[in-house]
Amino acid sequence: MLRAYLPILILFLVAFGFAAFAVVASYLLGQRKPTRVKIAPYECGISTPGYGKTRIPLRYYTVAMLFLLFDLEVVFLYPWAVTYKKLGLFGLVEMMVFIGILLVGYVYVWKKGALEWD
Amino acid sequence: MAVLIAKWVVFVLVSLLAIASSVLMIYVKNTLHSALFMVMAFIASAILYLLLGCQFLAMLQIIVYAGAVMMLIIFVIMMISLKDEEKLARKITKTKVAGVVISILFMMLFILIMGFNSVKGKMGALTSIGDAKTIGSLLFTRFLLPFEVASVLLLAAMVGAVMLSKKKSFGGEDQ
Repeated sequence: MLRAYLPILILFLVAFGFAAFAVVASYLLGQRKPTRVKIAPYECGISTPGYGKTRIPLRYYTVAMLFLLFDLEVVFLYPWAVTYKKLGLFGLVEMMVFIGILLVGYVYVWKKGALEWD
Repeated sequence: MAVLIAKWVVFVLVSLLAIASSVLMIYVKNTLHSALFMVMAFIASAILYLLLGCQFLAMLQIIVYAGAVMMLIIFVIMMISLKDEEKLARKITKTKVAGVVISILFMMLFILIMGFNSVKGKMGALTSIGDAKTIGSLLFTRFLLPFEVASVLLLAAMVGAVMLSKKKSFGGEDQ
């Protein structure tokens, strides 16, 4: 079973090696003439306004929290999907109950306006 | 034999990585860096699950913990931007006392657990339910009620998340 993960390990090592090689090679081979503009943090070429650690609105947290909860819902779909044929109608009904309860939550969240940005 | 040795080498390397990243997560000053070390610890424990034969749990560890939970933690870090608090934390001696007390308690607990159980984890009936198929068939037979209760728990968490962040920022109809 673990043998199946060998290509992933190799891919991981190659990716890590490539990234490390690029950083080390450019450090060793490249010349450095730093100016104030060059050493500034790069973000889309726009000059960065202010300090990096500013407070962000609470709304991001709500969206993140809701994402996490629905992510967990989707996670429960995986074991259902692979055993769907064996479980048949019973599994379908049980899953519909599960999704139904969460649908109530979805409607609640929607009605409360937590998905609206403004 | 070679497979066993390879497994053992991977286990030792990955557990060392997990321990090192957990320790660094605590000791690094920059909160975002410690979040990144936490991701590393999560991934290392996912590989440990994989070594135990729990493929599905390993994937969930990466999807849910290294992905969604980490995102939540990073949002919290960005929300309560620590600037002065970071410097303040070093002066507090109470936390050091609390740390010593907790580590003594942990040691006592550890010794107790060592007395009761063998530290060697054995691959038993419950640790071998690794793949999604077995988990699926168990979830819809033996653990059907906990599965349905989980949806109620998620619903409660949803309501809680909306209630906590509501205040007057959302332009809901009823406020």
